Amino acid sequence: MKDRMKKYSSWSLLLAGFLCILGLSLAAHPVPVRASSMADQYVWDTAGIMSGSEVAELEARAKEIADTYQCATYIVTVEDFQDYDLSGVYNAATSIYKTMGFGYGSGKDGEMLMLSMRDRDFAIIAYGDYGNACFTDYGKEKLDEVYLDNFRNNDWFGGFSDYLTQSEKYLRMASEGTFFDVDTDPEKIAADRMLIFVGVLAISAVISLIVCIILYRKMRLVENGNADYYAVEGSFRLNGRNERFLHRTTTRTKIERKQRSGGGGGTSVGSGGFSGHSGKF
Amino acid sequence: MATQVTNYQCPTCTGPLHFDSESGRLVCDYCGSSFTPEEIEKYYSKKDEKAAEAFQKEEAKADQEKPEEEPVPEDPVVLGDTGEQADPWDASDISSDWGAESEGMRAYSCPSCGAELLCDETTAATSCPYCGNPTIIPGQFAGTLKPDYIIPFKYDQKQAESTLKNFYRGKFLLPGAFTKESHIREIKGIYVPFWLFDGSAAGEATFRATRVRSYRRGDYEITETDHFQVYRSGSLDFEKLPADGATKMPDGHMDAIEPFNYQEMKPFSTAYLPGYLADKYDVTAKENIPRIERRVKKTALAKMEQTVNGFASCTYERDNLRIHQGKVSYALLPVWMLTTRWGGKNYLFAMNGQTGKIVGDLPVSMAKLVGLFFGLTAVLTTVLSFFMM
Repeated sequence: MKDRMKKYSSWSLLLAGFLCILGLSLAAHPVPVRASSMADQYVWDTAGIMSGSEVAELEARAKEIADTYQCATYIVTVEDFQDYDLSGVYNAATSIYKTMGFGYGSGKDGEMLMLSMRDRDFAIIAYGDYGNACFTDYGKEKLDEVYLDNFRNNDWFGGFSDYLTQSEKYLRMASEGTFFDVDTDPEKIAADRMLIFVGVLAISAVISLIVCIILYRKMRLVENGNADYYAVEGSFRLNGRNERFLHRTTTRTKIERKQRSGGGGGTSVGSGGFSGHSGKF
Repeated sequence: MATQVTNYQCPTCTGPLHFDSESGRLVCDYCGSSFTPEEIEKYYSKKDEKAAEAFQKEEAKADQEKPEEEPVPEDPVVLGDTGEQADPWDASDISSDWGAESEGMRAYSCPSCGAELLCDETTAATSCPYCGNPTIIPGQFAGTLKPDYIIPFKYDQKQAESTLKNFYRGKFLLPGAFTKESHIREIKGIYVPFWLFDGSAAGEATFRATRVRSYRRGDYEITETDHFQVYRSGSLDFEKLPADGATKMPDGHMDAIEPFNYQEMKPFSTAYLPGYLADKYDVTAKENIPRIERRVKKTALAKMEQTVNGFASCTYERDNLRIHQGKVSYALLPVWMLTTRWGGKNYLFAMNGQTGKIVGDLPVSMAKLVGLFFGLTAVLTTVLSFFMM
């Protein structure tokens, strides 16, 4: 009962926050540019971990991204995800996304990063055909690398700023016809190429070394240490032979399964139309 | 001190004879007559018999006529014909003894010009530095010192020189200036004394071998390695395994110019020596036994190891091989020794005088070696990158 009450008040807080910001927005912009829905607000700092100016700066950037690429990027901070869904931070995030009507256009395409401050949980999700295509599983894992280091140091603005920058990069690539994925990540491609180059260089150096050694040996006197030529043909007699088993050694090597990120790429979309994952920061 | 030496002379014109490697005959430098070694041997044995007979007669006659000798007082050295007795030369510092240097030296008289030849005590054939005539010292090959076999030279000096030039060809790492600037300082055709060993190696050896089986169980790759001790016993006969008996000859070079074709080996005759140098051995057969044993053991063990089949790996553990020594023969085998000088350093090459196989260390251009390494690496990297990236 207590949980239900708490959950109800959290949703009220989120809506009240929305109405308050909407009121301020209307006052600042008497004639709204786009439809005035909750989906048009991209930064929801209900946990109050950032300053007003930081929120405003992130909001402006997120809005610009959504307007430019027709895909929304949301930032949500809550005190405790259990206020929204008890089953987990990921489900809480999807629940908020749906309830708040997030997403761009009729397809509700978008991405959302949510932090739950109580136990330092996070969830990143994507929705919509275009949203899921732009933010692949590999792309979202790479996003983790971008912001988690900031969040671990309680650098909330820095982390969200990096999140927007990286998300914009994915959306820009998508607008140019390439979805950011394991096969299209420019950094990974460059790193893979460098790895191949280093391997090729090493193989070439070994081959060259062998050639040099062969040519060097041709310059040196090769001593004749055996007597093969003088062995009487057919004179070798094998008088005794025996093979005695001594012991057995066994080694076990775990077969490494191919990780998802190293596989074919793409996005694993759940039954609710969401893709994403959650974790701790 | 002077000892009798032989100078094979042409029976027709008495000119000096030398062995011609191409024709296998002794050829006169003056009249061009040629003789087989057998003909010359026969001719000289008859001549020696007659000379010995005449010498004995002369000696007997001289003994009869010889007056009793009176001791002659030692006079000081007299200068000119003035009749005056000059002050004697102070010869007190001149040593009649060559000391340690004279050890291992022998003096002989050249039968052609009478000059005194100073040679190593092992020298058996040489040429007179004054008249150039080939000279044989038969005493070096007398009695038990007589070689059993000889393989005559098949390559002459010109062929040896051209073989060395060919040896330089195709050697990418050879400094460019070496071929042009290096000059043959010395070229010697030498009959090198070799001991030829017959015998067998018998005994046992053990090896460590493994057999590997891999299979998959669940998420694990299981590799089972069975370790075995493999025992083999057997024997191997060997025949005429050569080891040089001359300390002057580098063992590495002598082993590397093998093999010699024993089909062309002939019973020894000094008639094959004129025109070449020859040494008698100064390393005994017994002293060479450890060297022979090493080579035979290596071959016998390799033969045994070849019978260890069906294993993933096989490594030698230990052996108890014994060498049964058989007959040892003594042979002179033909070798060209060539010395070149370049960059203040001498380079020694040995060539098998029968087969033409040449061996020796050549200088290496470090610039070419480093350039080749980096150049080849760059080319291979470019080509492989093209296919892989």
